[in-house]
Amino acid sequence: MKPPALARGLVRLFSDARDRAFLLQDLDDRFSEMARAKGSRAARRWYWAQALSAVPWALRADGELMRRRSWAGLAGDLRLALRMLTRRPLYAIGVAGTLGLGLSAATLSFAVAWRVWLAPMPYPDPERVVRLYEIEPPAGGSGASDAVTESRRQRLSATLLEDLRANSWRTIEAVSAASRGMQPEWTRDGEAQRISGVAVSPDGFGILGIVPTLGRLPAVSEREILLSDGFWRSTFGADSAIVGSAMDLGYGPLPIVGVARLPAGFPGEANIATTIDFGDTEDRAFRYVEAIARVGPGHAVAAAEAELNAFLGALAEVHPEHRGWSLEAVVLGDDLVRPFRPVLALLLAAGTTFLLLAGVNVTGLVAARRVDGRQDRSIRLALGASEGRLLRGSLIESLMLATVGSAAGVLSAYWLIAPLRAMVPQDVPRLDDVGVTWPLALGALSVGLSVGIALGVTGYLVSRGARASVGRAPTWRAVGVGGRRALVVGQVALTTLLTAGGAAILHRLSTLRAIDLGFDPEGVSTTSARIPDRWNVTRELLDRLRTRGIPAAAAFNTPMSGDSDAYDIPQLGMRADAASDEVVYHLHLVSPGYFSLMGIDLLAGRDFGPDDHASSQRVVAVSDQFADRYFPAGTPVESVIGRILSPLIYEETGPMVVGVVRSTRHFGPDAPVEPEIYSPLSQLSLEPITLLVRGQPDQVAEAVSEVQARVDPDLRWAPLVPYTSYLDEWFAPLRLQVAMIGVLGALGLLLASLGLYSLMAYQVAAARRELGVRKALGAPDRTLLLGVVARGVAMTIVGAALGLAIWYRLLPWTAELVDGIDAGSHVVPISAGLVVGGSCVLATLLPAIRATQVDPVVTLKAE
Amino acid sequence: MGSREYLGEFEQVVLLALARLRGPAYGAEIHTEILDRTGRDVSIPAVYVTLKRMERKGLVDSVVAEPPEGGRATRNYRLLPEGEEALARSRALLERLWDGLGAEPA
Repeated sequence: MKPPALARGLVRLFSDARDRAFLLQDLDDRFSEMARAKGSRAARRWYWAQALSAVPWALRADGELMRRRSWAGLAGDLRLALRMLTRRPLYAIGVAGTLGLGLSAATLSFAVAWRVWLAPMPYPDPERVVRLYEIEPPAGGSGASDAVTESRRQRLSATLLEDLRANSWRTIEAVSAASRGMQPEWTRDGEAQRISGVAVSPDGFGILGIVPTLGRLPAVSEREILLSDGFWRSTFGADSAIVGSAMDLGYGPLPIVGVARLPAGFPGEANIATTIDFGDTEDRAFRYVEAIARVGPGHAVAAAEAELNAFLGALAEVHPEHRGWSLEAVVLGDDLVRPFRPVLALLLAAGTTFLLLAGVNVTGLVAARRVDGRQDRSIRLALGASEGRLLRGSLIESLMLATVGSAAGVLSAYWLIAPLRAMVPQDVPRLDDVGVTWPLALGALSVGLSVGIALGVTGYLVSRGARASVGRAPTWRAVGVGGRRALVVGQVALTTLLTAGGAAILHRLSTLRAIDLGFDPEGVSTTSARIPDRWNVTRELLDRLRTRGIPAAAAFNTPMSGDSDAYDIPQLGMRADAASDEVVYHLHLVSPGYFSLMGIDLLAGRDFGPDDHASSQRVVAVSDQFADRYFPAGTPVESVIGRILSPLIYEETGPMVVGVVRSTRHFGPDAPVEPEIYSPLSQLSLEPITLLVRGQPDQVAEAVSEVQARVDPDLRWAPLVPYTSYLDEWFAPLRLQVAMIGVLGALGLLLASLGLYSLMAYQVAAARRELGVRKALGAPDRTLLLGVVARGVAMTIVGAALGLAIWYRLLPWTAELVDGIDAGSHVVPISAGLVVGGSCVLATLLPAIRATQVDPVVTLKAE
Repeated sequence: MGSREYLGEFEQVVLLALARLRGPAYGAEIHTEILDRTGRDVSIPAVYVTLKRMERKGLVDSVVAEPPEGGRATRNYRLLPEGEEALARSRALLERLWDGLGAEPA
């Protein structure tokens, strides 16, 4: 008959060490007596009661102890821990720094991934708010893949939007335009400043759950302004009298009718909101409206999409512009995040991995330090310290480090958020809201402190194990070192992989940046409008701008702007000299001066001029690639080519080539160069017309809007933006990848170096006796140094090789995830491996030098 | 130290049990004595904690006794003169308090 083990453990835990054995013996004796007299049940119950009574008594006794001397003990332990740490500053910085780095990485990646990706969008029922796209039929006809590519996703025409809004739906509550990125200029007290705005159809406010906190929503057909709550507070000092006053946004004073919280993220970070009215436009092929909709409660997005497509199918019977097209409804939140999702997932995985690695590495550091300091333990035990006291000491030391490390980690994350935000492109949704919030900071701190406690216990156990292991080869150490070695190799591999990935993306970014786009839009601003009166209106616009000293040009279908207009090559009657899989050419309609404004070199012949008019000889310019392909023998200038746009223009002969210009990359630096034909706007016109002016928007906006109003006040112009913003938009996801992977790669490098350092330090500490003996036997310092370094180098080589092997193995997959990673380049990944390897070898030098400083006399005496 | 302090109730109980046993006694014996005299099955850990505290106050002292043949080692406590004094002082205090209440102290 034995007393209950758990209760006995309780007594053991809550009893004074001096009397523990006697107390347990007394309890056991009495338990046996009672079991004999009253049965085991009663005896067990009695034992439990006794055990439980030990707790308050022990605590009370401890309380007295605390009062009497333990505070002194605690203070002593704190002082001791501080002294230990200041004596080994490198160790203290290593542990706190590693933990800080890991926590900082995890906190940052969590903050970004949470706010940008995982947190629900800031409007009601976000899963029911969808973005609508009109999907272009696949280019290759019916045989082409059904997958919806990004280039096939088009916005909606204003006409289609009005049709959708007018229809009554079963599965959809409301449809609205939502135009982001308006940047009107606001003149206040004679000073102009650019603010951000959003325009929606009247239903848009309901779809996005915008309710006025003050005043009312803008009325349907009036130009009225709703202020965002934040803008109202920051700029108007939350003055409620502002409602009813007016703002001058360059169209004369517009009334402010209300204040509301505008959801961040979508539509963008807006200062003001207003309603949009497209008037009665009839062009269904002018797809430029961003549309959103709210799916009705209880209906699936797919059902809404099906209903939309049934509607569009019926519409296509009447309007051929929709034939073959379809409508797509994508949950708005997903749509906004889609381009960034792979990199965010990577970020989250990397942040978590780094935290784990940091934990492993600090454990390594603490273990090394404990093995090294096992004499401390012997001395303290000899001086009468209890095991509990030693555990407490170890806990205090590691908690001190963990506190400093976690605080540093959270603070650095807090400080790094702003520069990180500045580094990544502004197109990332909700980026402005990313921050280290209190819950996140507290979470990170508690993770850090938990690691601290784990470290304290581990350190204590290691030092106990170290004592037990003198002279023997304990299994835990063997396993521990093997495991840690594998971890270091893994870390080096991971870092090599990350660095290779980062370098590859950086390499690709710089390659893409270096690619000649064939045009140079630097310093050019652009806006567009449908110009119904065609060339006369456009010419007047350009003339007026030029008289005011502003170089200007107009075009239909400009590169990298999202516009696209392509026609079949065979229709031209051209025959390529070699087998060519190109079936289309890009058609651009341009005004005189377009080439020079857009930096497109004229290689032969002439630009268009005033003599090229509606009744003169039809002329075109072609790209050099077109010329090379179809006129390999000589210049195409003066040649007559097949008719362009044959279904629309009936002429006996095609146009004559008068110029050859440099090819542009219409869809961006990674897209192939395709044949291009330029026709003067004076001879052929399509809509929308893009207006291009030299000068930044803020320099020319005033003049441009004056001229626009003068020529035709009824024309609706898109906001004036720098042409380079199209390029920035194109590069945005890539830049985010570079920024993230760059930061992660650097962190990984630091962590892997620290991991290697801690392992080598541990091994040197553990092998002190061996090193001492070898030194006593006359081994030169160089041999000892090389011995240690060789081990580090071996692990580094294995790790880096493993990392590179994984890199090449994953390459097909990576190349798919991140477009155009150059599989053929070995220079980039191998140099990444070398950088990682070099840093890791450096990390082993310090412990190696320590190894040579082992004093054989001291070491051998200590054993 | 602390010899001028009055005893707590449980301290008095333990100290009186030790006094009744007249000679060195260990925890279980003291516990049995309390149980036999008062019928209270007090907590053995409490007895140990109290004895240790009184040892620190200088009221009792203890030695670890060599185990007898076939028996086990025990920590035996002995009442010191300071302990007897403290008991007497506590009794005097209680008697002064009871005096005139028309009842005998329990």
